Amino acid sequence: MSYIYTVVILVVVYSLLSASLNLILGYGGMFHMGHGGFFAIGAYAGALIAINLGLPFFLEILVAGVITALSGLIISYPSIKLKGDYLAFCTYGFGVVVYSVANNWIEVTNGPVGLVGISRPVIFGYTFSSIQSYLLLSVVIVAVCLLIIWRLTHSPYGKTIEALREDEVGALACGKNVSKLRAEVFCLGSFFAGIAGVLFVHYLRIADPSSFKTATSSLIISMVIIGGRGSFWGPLAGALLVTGIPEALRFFEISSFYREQIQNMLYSLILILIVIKRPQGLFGKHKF
Amino acid sequence: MIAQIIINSIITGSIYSLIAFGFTLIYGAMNHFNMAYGVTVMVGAYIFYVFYTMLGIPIIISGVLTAVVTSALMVGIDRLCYYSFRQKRVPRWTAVVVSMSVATLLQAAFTMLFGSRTRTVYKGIPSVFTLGSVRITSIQAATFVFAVVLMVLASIYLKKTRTGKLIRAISNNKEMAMTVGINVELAYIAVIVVGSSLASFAGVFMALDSDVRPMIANTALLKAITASIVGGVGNIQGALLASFLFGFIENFSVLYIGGGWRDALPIVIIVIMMLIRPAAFGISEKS
Repeated sequence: MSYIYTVVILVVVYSLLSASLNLILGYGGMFHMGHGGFFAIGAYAGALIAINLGLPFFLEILVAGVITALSGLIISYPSIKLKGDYLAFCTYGFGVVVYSVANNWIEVTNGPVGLVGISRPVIFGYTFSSIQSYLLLSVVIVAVCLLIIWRLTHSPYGKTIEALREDEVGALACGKNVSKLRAEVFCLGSFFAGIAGVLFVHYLRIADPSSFKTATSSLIISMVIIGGRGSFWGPLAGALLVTGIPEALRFFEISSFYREQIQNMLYSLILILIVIKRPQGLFGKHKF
Repeated sequence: MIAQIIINSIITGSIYSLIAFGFTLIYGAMNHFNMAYGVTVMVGAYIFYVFYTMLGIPIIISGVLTAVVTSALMVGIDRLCYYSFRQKRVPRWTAVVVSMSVATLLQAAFTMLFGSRTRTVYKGIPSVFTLGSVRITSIQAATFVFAVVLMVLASIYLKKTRTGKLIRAISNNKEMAMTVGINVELAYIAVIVVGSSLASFAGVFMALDSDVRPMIANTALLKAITASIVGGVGNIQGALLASFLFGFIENFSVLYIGGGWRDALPIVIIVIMMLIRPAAFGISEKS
């Protein structure tokens, strides 16, 4: 039974991840291929804070989110200047570099072994040690984040960001600071990805590089595109679909090695079919 | 020591330049940022493993068969996936996403078939030449010679033959080429065949020199992209020069910084260079 909770926690964490990528890719229209890098930075920041500083959990989430947002600010600097394939390559490279750092900066990240000894969060003296209570906590945190994202994207600010995506020159002509807005979108997206990272490591209780390969970035991209770019509910549905359906394979007698490969094949097949047959995604409105 | 590293860098560079040649050819002619190109190298290596190690077919015939099978597979994928995009006007990211998914799909399929552990392709012990303090195995020497021969052949093909001229015409100006009645789709097939064959040969050499594992796809893709961006998109000489440069950077960084950073270093260099002097790479606003 606890297995079901595991799947639900993964779905919840990935919902926040895909919603945060949707801010950059769907609303902002910037083709960002290294979201796994932000996820990793948030996860490692959260793990290091939890192990070394022992801050209160909500403060830890905020600090890790801000650290990730700062990394987003750094990566937004080249990303504003670059376009098309170069932007895709630059952000893809960012994911590879973060994975490399996690693997090789042994003094801080403990290399391929990973950081262990991350405890479950304690809030007002209550330890969320059981998986059910932790699931409840992550659902609440993710719901708050999603509410913020909802408010953001349905505000005039959100419409301005959509305007950049639709017509950059037009937005510029209306007096919008395009570069500044793009940097802000990157910061916002990475902030929420960092929070997802913190929730992820407190669930796994280990931060190791194998969770943050380039395949993770393409997994998050596939969630956003399958669900529908630039729609609020699309990426959430995408996260449910991409994480949930392969988990159903567990009911067959397949070893975990084969299951991982079948999961990769399934989601990439669905993604190819969606892009060719229904490019707006399941819930998206605009086609391109 | 330094002489040995220089020789190793030249041999690594010759493999990378095979990879970069094909990538930049496809990118220049078809304007297709092919994220599945690294997987082509991996597919070539595994198919060679099947022909040469498992079936025991002689090495030259296995190499040719590998190129044929890999090219056929890639042409098939192109007809199934990217063909429809070329007919409609779609934004650039669609082809990037689809090629990324094709890469994930093929990598997962080959991992499932062959397992994620490394496979040794060359069972014997290669003979070693010694020149002073430098040691070169026969495989490394053959790699260098064959890589140079293949690149010369591909250049002659592009310069002298009719199809090669068509390919160059298309990369120069696609609309004009269509106006004068060039069959663009036919030339695209030639581009994919040449590019995939070069990639599969690179995979064969990588497999012979060390061994095969699914992860070589990621390494090969990074080398292909970095070299072709530094060399200037579609500029084959530039890509070859950049590949040798990255061969040197990689081997010397292993000596001075540590082997784990070999994937990250070229990216950091290239992103910094992109920011400082974008014009040096002929980066134009293509989107």
